[in-house]
Amino acid sequence: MCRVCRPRAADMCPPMPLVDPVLVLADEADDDVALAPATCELLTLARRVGTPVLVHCDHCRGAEEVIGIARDHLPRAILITSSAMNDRISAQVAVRLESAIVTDVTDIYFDRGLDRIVAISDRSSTEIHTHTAVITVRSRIHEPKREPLLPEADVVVAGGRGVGSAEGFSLLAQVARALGGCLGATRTAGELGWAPRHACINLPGAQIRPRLYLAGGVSGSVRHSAAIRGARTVVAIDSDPNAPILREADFGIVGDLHRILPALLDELAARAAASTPGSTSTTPEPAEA
Amino acid sequence: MLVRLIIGLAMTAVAFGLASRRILHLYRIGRLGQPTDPERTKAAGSRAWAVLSEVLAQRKLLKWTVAGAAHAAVFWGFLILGATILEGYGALFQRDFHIPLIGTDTWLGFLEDLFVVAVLCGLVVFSALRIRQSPERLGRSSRFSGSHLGAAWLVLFMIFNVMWTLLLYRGAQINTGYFPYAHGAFASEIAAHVLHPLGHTANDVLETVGILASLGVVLGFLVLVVNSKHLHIFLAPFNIAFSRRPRALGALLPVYSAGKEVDFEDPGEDDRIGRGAIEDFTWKGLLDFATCTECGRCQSQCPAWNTGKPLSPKLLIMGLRDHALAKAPYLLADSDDARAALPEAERAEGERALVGPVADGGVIDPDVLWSCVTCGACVEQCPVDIEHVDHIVDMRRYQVMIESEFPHEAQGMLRNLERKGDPWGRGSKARLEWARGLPFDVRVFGENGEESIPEDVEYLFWVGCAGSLDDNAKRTSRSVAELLHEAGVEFMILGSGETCTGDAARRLGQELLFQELAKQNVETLNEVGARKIVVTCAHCFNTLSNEYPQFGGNYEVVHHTELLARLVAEGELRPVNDLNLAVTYHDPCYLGRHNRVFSPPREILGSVPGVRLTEMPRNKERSFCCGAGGARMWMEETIGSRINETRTDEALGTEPDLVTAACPYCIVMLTDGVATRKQQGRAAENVRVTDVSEVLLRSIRKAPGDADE
Amino acid sequence: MRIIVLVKPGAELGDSDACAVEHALNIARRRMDVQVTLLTAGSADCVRSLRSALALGADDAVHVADDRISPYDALTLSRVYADVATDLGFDLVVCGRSADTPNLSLLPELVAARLATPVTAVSARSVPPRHPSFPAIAEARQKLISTRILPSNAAGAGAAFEPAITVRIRSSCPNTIIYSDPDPHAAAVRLVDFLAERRLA
Repeated sequence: MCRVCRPRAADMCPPMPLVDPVLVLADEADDDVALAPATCELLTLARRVGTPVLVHCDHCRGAEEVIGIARDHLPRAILITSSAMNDRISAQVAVRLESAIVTDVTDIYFDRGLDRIVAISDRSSTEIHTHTAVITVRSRIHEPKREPLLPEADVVVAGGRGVGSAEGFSLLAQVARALGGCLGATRTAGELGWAPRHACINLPGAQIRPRLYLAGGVSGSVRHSAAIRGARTVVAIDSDPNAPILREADFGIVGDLHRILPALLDELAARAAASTPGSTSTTPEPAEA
Repeated sequence: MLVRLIIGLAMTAVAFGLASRRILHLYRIGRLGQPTDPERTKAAGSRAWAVLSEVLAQRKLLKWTVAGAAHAAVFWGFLILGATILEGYGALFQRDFHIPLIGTDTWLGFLEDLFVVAVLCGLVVFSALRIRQSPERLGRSSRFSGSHLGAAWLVLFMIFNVMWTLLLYRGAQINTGYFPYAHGAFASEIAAHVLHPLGHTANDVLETVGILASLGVVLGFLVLVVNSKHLHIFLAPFNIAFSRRPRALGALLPVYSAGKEVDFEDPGEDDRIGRGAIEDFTWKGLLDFATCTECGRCQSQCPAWNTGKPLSPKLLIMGLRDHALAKAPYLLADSDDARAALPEAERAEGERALVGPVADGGVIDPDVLWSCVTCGACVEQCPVDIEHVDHIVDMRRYQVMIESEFPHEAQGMLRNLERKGDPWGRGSKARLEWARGLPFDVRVFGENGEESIPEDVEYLFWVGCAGSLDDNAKRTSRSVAELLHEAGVEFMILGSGETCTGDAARRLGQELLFQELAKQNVETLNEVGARKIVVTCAHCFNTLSNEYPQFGGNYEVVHHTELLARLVAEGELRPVNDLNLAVTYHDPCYLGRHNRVFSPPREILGSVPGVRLTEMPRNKERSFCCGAGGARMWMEETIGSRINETRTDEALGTEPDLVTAACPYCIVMLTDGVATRKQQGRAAENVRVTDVSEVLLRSIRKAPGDADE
Repeated sequence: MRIIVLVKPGAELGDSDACAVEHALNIARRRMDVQVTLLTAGSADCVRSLRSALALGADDAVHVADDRISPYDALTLSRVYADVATDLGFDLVVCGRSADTPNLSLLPELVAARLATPVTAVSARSVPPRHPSFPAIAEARQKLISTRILPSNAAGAGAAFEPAITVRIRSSCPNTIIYSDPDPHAAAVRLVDFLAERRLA
């Protein structure tokens, strides 16, 4: 069940005691017809720890409005999608409410044993002690305006000797585009002419720190893994089950990347189509944490 | 008679005057340098022996047989023919002068003439060499490329002049009857025979002309010598006497300032770290530069120069020498006013940066400084014991620690060393991964609460960073562990107690970080009571045995090939399987040249049935570096061709099934090289690169059907 | 003029903090009479990162010594920083924006909200600032780090000394999931599920 509250009509919406309210800041892409996918995702998360209360705000006074509603409803959490605009609001709200703030969260659940909300990020899980918490949720990467540069990219899709050819690299480039990231290559692949020099990653070059590093056909020598140490999530695809990179990866696939990558592209396209606004989709009921 | 005496003495006075002025000037430049480290003036015995063997016996020169023999002839000629100079001066005063006691002995006359002929033959050889190996013909690959060729030819010409004027004088002397030697002086007798038809008067005149010409040429030569690279004839014995013994390889010295070791925790106000200007070098360094003969033997061996990089050890030393000479007026000026009064060019020289882009007036270009792999091939060859590697590292120390100017790629390696204790930043917990899955348990210090290494453990196995973190090197560690287990040798590893020995930091010039790592390791090793240590990495080997004593760490360090060779010789390890492989062996610089360990790896290969070893053209002391030394493993190679590929080609030239080495970095570089050549279709698919220990292991394993790794 | 640079707690100076110090020093170089003061809060090993930052060129540092403050508790850190900065007085506050450290990516905004002035956020560049020279390191040993202690029950600090959060760091890959399946489609589905779970696709 979802309660929608429009502050402009606040007087038509008297405060009702709600069980475990969780404020959800609506995405600016929402309109009167349908909710933006980002908002739906927040609502899904919110349901895991309480009753969602959707808040639509005017961004000029956003912080004040959220603070006002929070003081009325005393929510246990306030979920906000991370973005440049929203981050300022999140900070203001946290400071004014003296509530814990957890950022770049990918998942949350309620831990019955501890009687606390736990927020999950790539490399940490945070238990929240304060009554209210401001939780900024990582936004799924949508179409970027232009391909990011390797040193700054959030997503890097890289290939090595195992790719076998320049054609294989064009496949990797497509995957990079689908994930909103940029193409990378090991020094070997660069020397073999399969990828341009500026895409090469190795220890003598600059370190990269993407959120996601997807490696295809990269065996993963210690020198290469030193260069990608800053990556928060590593996915590796290699035909050799003993490739060192599979030990370093968070998720590994042993198989032929020339068949897996096209399948990956298909699956990504299928999910993207399924989640565009206007299409019906059922957000699956989350399991109990 | 009187006339010639006056002329002779006058010439002498002029020449000595000119020469002395020059020598005094050079001496004053030498005094500008810092005092040296205290070891330079100790161990008189070994220094005297070095002078005997390298100067008198021409040991290093004779490594190149033809040129060496010719040089020995000319060198000894100079010494022996000193007698003729004595005879010449004597004859100015008294026409029939002869050296007291032995001055008429047949053997002396014969010896003198023999060496006149020998010197002339030497000159022919030298000329032939210079023509055949001229830079005009061979370009960069000539060892004379960059040397002052005109000056060199002038020197040869002058020596020739000394010889023929001497023969002229002696021939005329025979014909006028004043020659001391009745028999034996065969060449002079031939000259006399040639001059005889001219008649007595002519010979009389020629005898005077000859003696003055002969002495004049010698004096002229003296002045030439002190004003050219030929000064080495006087300086070389001193340079050799004061060089590092037994050789300027192996350990690097700590940072010294004004003759005292710099304490990085409490540095003096005026401490100079490394070399930032020419006057920061010690007097020995300046002596090194002045002694250089421009022979180019170093240049011919340098892996950087031979792969198209701008670094040539010879050109480096010559550049520093020329800069010292050019900056001398600036440095010797005793006040700011005097400096301001100097000509423009001399003042400008004073403002040049020692290390900086040549386009901006720098003396040594950064590309030159950072291309060095510290392999020591230059030091090995130098006939006058110049210490190129020490000077390069000292310049690097200033660049890294004072200017913070160094290839930024190495920053990552330094940060990983600082934060995680290994160059790849994996962290100490990862150091135990290599031992997993071995058919026995590797004993780790501290597992059972040990406070010091148990009595029954014979060796501490220092695995090293590469040995525990690099996939290729881990195979070596495992092989060695299995072999030691097989031989019943009890060993233990420190596991996460190890931190990087710091070799790369020191070669890069980051002495502060090196000392922190070294002190940490020495503390650990001393605490656990380490006595005997076995290592697989040649760099760890060098640092632990030669450099850790500088920090109070004295251990008996043995390389794994030495230990395994001994175990095979004692029968503890029995290689039985016939491997039927064509093999070649690459001498790692830090094992071979720096530490003289050449035989043990070959003994191991020799003990394995079916291994056919073919040496590469450049092997043992002349081994060509793999390219990873000098911290270059962590830098990009952007200039010229790849050192590792060059060495790989040399290895592949022996048509091996297996390329072996005894150091993990060599193995990484050669493996990369072979993989690249395979991709280019220039190497057979079956060629592999492994450590020597793996070969031994394969021959020992009881079931030949063991799966390959 | 005084610039305060906020340094995140920890023994090692993070890249974004080093870039923040450099940014402050760039400003200082262009003007006369600028003092660059570092500020951090946390346990005793923070002093090491302060010394590194001082070696980069900062003038002095203030260390709020308190073991109770979690290095990932952005709320509490922002309050401590804001209180001390106000006490010291400043013309500009600079803070590194770290994407790597859990929860601290909004630290600049939090401090800005408390101080009601803009805080300059500096992101880590891919090429961090140069290693300091040895003379700078030696000089940094002499620079002043003054230590402050938070009172145990400061009035106005509210419920401050209860940590707002507890963070558990998950080590890199304890649970590598390796998937071997001859069917590429199935593998792709599992991969996209994994990515979706982490909000990466």
